Amino acid sequence: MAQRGVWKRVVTAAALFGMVVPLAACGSDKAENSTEADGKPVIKMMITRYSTDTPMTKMKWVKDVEAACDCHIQWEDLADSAWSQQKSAKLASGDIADASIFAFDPGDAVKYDYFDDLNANMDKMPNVQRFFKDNTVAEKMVKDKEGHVYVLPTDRGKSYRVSTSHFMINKKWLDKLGLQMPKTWDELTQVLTAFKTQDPNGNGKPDEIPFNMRRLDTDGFKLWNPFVLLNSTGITTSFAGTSPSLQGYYVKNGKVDSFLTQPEYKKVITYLHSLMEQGLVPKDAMTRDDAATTAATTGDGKTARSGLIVGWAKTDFEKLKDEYVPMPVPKDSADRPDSEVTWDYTQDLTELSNHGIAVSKNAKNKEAVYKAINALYSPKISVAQYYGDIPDFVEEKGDKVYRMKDGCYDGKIKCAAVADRFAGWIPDSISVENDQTAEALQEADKAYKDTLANVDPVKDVMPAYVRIDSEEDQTALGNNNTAILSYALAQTAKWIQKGGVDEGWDSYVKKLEDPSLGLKQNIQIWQKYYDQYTSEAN
Amino acid sequence: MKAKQVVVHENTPHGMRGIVWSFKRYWQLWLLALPAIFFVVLFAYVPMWGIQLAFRKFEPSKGITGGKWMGLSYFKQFFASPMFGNIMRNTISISLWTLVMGFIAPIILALLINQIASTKIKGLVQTITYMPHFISTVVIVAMLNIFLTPETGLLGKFLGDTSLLGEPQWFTPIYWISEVWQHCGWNCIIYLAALSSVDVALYEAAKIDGAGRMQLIRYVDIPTILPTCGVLLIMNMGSVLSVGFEKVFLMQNALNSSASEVISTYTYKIGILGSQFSYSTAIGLFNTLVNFFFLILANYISKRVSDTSIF
Repeated sequence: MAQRGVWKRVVTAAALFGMVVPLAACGSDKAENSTEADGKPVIKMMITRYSTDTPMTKMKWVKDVEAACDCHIQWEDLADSAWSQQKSAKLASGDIADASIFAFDPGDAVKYDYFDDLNANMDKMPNVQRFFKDNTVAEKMVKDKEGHVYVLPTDRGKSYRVSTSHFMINKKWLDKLGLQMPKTWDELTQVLTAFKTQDPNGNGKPDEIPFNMRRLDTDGFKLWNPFVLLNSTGITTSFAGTSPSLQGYYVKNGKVDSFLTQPEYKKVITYLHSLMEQGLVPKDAMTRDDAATTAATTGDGKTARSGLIVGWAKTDFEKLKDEYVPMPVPKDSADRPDSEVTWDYTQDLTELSNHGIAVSKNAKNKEAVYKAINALYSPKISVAQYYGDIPDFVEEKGDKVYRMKDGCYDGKIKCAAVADRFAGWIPDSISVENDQTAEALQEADKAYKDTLANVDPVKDVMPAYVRIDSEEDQTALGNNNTAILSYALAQTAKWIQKGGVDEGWDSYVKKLEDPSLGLKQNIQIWQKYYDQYTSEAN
Repeated sequence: MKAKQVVVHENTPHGMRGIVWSFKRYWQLWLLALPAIFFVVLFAYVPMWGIQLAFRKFEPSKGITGGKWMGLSYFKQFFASPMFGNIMRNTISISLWTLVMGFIAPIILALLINQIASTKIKGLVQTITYMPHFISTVVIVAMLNIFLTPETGLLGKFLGDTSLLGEPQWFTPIYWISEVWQHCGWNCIIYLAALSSVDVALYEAAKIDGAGRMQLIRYVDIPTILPTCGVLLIMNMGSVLSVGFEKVFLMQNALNSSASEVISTYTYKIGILGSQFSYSTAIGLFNTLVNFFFLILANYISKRVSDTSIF
C-alpha cells in the first residue's frame, strides 16, 4: 500500500511540474544584455525587406557600421509580408527595436509616443545634418510643427528623381504595323485595335493583349493603376507612397478636391469601358491577380504579348525590354492644349522616403545608436547599402563615382543589397554608373519631361511633406475613406466592366457627396494641412 | 438520458462546502480535468478582460485599462456607419447559405454512403469526398480563380466573357458551393459514425415488414442520426455571423466588393490596417453577441421541440 501511495505522489508531482514549467518559461524572457562580453554595447536593429534571403550579417558594410559605433548590432530581419501583419500589433504592444529601418513613418509617431526625438541630438549625427541642409524637402517630410524629428528620411539619389509611373508601349509592334506614336485617346484606341487584330507579334495566334491593365483594388488606387489617364485631362495624380492621391484626392491651383466626383473621372471610366468593350484590355482585367498581369508583361521572354502597360520602365519587361519605349501622355482630345496635360508627379516620393530609420525612446545605448545612424548616412555606406558591398559588387572609381559590376544585372553574381530599404543618403554629388534600373527610369522619364513641366510641385500636387498631424483627423480620414472607396471603387470597376456610367453617374455623385460618407470632411482635412504646410514653406 | 446521469449521493452538501467536498471526494477526476480547465480559463476567459477595450479609447502607452471611458460610442459609430447595412446583409446572407447548405449536404452524403454495400467502395468514396478538406483556403481560392477564368478556365469557358468572381450576385453561391464541396465529406464522418451504431436487427425487422430502401432511410437511418443533427445544428448556430475571414478576403475584388464586404474583412481593414483597436473590438463584440443570441435561441427551440440540447 505504502508503495502505491508513493507512486501516486510521484506521478502527481510530475504532472504538476509538467504544467507549471511551460508557464514559467512564458514569464521570463531571456535576460536582455545591453552589452556584449567584450564590453561593447549591443543595439537591436529591425529592418523590413522584400526578401530576407541574404542575412544582414553577411553584408560587409554592416561591419563598417559596427566599427563606427563601436558596438554590436543584432538584426531582426522581416519580410514585407510579415511586417504588414505585425506592424499594428507591434505598435499597440510597444515592443519596438532600438532602431527600426523602413518600418515607421511620421504618422505613426503622431499616434504612438514611442520614438526618440532625433532633432535634439542632431549634433551627434553630422551626416544627417548635412543631408537636411542639402535637401530641405526631405527634412520637411519628417519634421513636425514643433521641430521634432522621429523618423529620418532616406534619399536614393538624383537618378531616382523620376515619376514612378510611365506608359510603356511596344515600339517593335508600332514599327511593324507602320503606326505613329499615339497622341490622343482616339489615336491610342486605333493603335490598340491594330495591336489586337493585326498579329504584331507574328506568331499567328490572337494572343496579343493590347493594353495590359492592372486591376483596381478594393481599398484604394495602387501604383500603376490605369487612372493615370486622369493626367490626360489635367488632373495631376501621384500614385505612390503615402500620397492621398491613392484615396482619390488631388490638388489644383492650391485647392484640394476629390477626383472621384469630377467629370474628368467619368471621362476616364468611359474611355476605359470603351477599351473593355472592344476587347483591348483583358476581359478579366478587373478581377485577375497582379501576378497574371506581370506574367503577361514579361511573357515567355521571346514573344511579346503586351502592347501597352503602365509601369516603372522598360526593365519591367525583363528579356523583352528592348521592344518597349515610353509613350508620352496621350491627350483626351485633340482640342486640349498641351499646356493642360499633366503627368503623375511622384518625383519626391520616388527619390525620398519618409520612413527611413526610427529610434526607440527606450533604447538602452542611444549614443551608440546615434553613431550607427551617422555611419549609415555617410555617402559611402549609403551606396553600399543601396547597391551592394564595395568593392565586391560596386567599384569605387574615384572620388564620388561608383560603378555597379556588370554581373549584378544578368544574374551572374548575386549582388546582395537592401536596395530602397536602406537608411541612408546618396547625395547628388555622387554618381553611380551602370545602374540599369535608374538608366531605364531616366530614359522613360525623358518622354514626360515637357508634360511634367506643366505641373507645379506645390500648387498642383499634394507635396510629400504635407502630413496629417492629429490622431483625430487621421482616424476620421481613415474611416471615411474606407466607406468612400469601398463604394466608389466597386462602382468604378462595374462601369469599366459593363458600362452604364452615364446613367449611374448622377446618383453616384449624389451618394458620394452625402455627408454621412464624409467626403467633404476629408477634403477639408487635407486642405487644412495643405494650407498649413505649404504656407510654412513660403 | 436520465439513466446516464451520475447518481447523486443523498447526503451531498451544497454551496461552498459542496465544492470543497467534491474536491476531496473526486480529486483525481479534478486533477484529470485540470489541464482542460486551465486551458479554457487561460484562452477563453482571461482574454475577456480585453473586452473593455470596446468601451474605452485605446491608448497603447496606458494599456488596456488606461484609456478614457467612451461608453457605447463605438457601437453607435458602427451602427451609424454608411457601411453597416451592406456589411450586415452580406454577412448574414453568406453565413446563412453556408450554414443551411453546409448542414444538409453532409447528412445526405452520409445517408448515400451508408447505402453502399461494399466496404471497399465505401471506404474509397469516403476518402475521396473528405480529401478536399485538407486543401488550404489559399489554394481553394486560387483554384476558384483558375476554374472561373473566362476562355481558359474549366468552368469559365462556358460562362461568358467575365469571371463569375466579378459578379456580386454570384459571390455568395460561389462561396457556399465551394465551402460545401470542400467540407461535406469531412463533416459527414460524424453522421456515418452515428449510422454505424444502428442495430442491424432494426433493418431486418423493417425489411420483414416490407420496408423498401427509401423507407429504411426514412424510418431507421434518419431517426438514428437526428440527435446528432440537432447538436451539430445548435453548435453551428453559434457561428451564424462568423464568416471566416481568409476565404472572403481572398475572394474579394473591386467588382464584387459590394457583396463581399463582411464583418470580419471590415474589422481587418479598420482595426489592423487602420489601427483602430477599440472600434474593431466593439464590432467584434457585437458580432459575438449576435452569435451568442442565436446559439441560445437554437438551443431553446431544440430543447422544446426534440428534447435535444447542449445545455
